[in-house]
Amino acid sequence: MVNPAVIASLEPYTAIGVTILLAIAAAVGALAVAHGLGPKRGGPVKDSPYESGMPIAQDTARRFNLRFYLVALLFLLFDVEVVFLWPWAQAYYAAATGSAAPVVLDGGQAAGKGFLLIGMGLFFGLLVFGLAYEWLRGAFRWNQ
Amino acid sequence: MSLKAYILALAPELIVLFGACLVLLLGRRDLRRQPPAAPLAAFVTLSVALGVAFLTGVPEEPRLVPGLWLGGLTFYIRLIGLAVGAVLVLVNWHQAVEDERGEYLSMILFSLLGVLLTASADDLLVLLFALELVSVPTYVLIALSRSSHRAGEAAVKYFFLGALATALLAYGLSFLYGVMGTTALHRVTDAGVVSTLGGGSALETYALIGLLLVFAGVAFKMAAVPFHVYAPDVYEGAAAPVTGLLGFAPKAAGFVALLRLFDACAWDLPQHLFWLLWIVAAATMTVGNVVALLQTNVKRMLAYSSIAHTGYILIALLVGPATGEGPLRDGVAAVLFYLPVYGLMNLGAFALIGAFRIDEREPETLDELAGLARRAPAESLTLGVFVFSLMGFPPTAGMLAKVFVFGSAFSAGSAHPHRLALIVLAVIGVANAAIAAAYYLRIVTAVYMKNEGCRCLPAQGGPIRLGLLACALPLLLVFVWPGALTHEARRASAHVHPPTLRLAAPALTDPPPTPVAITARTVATSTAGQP
Repeated sequence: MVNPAVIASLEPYTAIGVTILLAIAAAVGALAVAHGLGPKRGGPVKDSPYESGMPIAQDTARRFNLRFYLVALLFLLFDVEVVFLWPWAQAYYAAATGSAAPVVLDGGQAAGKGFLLIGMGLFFGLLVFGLAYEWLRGAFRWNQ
Repeated sequence: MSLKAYILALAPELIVLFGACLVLLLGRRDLRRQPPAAPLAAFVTLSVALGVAFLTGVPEEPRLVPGLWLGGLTFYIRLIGLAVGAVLVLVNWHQAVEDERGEYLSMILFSLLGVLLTASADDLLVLLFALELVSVPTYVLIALSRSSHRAGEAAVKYFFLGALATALLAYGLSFLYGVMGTTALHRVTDAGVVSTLGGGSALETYALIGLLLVFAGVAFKMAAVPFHVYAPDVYEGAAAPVTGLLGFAPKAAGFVALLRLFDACAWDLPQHLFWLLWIVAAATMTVGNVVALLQTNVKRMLAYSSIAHTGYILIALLVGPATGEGPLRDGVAAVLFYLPVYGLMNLGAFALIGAFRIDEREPETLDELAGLARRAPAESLTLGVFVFSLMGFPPTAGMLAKVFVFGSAFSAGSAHPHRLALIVLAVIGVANAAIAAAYYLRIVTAVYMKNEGCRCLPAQGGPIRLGLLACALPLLLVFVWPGALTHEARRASAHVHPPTLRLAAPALTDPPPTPVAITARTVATSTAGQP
């Protein structure tokens, strides 16, 4: 049923497949050995999530203030932005000094300094606009 | 390749982008001196962008901006997207709570921006993000549209199913990237992804998987069977003016995306995919129309009608570019003609529901609309136009749209490999159009024939009435004078197939080409003038 050529084309992925199988085997194996050989003694302390850690204050399934999510979202925004800024800085440096291999655009010519600057400027401008909007909207006022 | 050229080439998109940002800020209370500042700014933005798009005309240099292909399709979608968008803003003028109106209207603009970018996308990633730009604002729009728990439920339902559809789409595109060896659509061979690599090779299977997954993801946005289940609930839950947008933006973007992708396959779809699409088209029409017969809630009825119309458009999509003889042979032009016509008639029907209130909410059932003609004769007359247009009756553009779609299938040439199948599909379509008349006429009957006093009160504001007029008039005008729109649709259809600058997709056995290698070959071929 399955085309043999499809199977053949999957060959480069053999190593990944073996790694996945090994990882599953290691995890399941460790649990199975612990389950089979380990002594079984119960008790309130033994059954708590952190046996040798902090005492449990309350259940984890409780309500969190919605503002935490807002902070998390804003953090994510700037986190991703930095990830994007780093390779951009490399490319800009290459374009400015002509040292490394330039970024090649679709049309075939190397991306110039101006193109990179304007592209990042647009992206950065939109992010800053989003921040300004959040600020004006009062997203940073915790007690509102 | 100066900055000025970039800005000119993308002027309508940039205007919409900055306009959307401005509208977002105008929602702020202390920046909003006059209450209608946000809707007015949104309307002006779209009008200016439409004017600029019209004046700049069809872009002359299609490959100016990396990742985009600016051609006739771009121009056509700019015109219809911005024009329908301006009407959408009119209809949504008083929607949402006043404090959230800036956010609300800017989401409409962002969604329209996504539609514009989908038409120009020349890169799989740009295509994915453009489709997401259409969808993500609609989740917000549904939730903001009215303060009812049903709107929240509809938004969450749409969001989770939409996220699943996007995952399918992205996964499918990753398969296509594997087959093509590039994300740029224009690099795919003239013979297409599938057929060049066909003949039992491994890549054919991958291309099929990729196209199937992409179609599944896009079918959700177009509400095609079997991905239509969400549509009635979401359309019913959202406020009627937003539902009008849901019938246009995601559907138009989905069809345009499929046009781009099928063009990359040179319209030579794999057998399995053709028959799957055939079944989907037939099932979508039939399920939509038959289930609509059972509805008493007008919004749900129109939701099923929206599903059925997706089926009609799929017929023309399967026909593809012109193969046969006769004036109606171009399936792509039929798709492009149907999209704005359907967008306006659907928007108009929902806008009419949004223009009235019963106990502070929209009238939804047929009983609640009964006898509306006595209370509001002018609005009822526009409803008549929309319903007859949806039905495909003269003197409305809906009739022409149906004629073009069915005509394209009937005049598919003998060169088309599935000529007979297309004719059968068109016959199913015609039968469905007849079934559909039964429930569309129930709306007209309720409004005009029932003598009960209607409890509907006119909703706030003149803009929505202006919007009703702006939906109804073009439908009548296009029927009388279809030349302009059909001319533009045909021209866009001719531009859908970028004729030059295509390279053989590298086979999987080759080492992955470095960007420099590809560009060197591109430059060499384009200067030497060799295919």
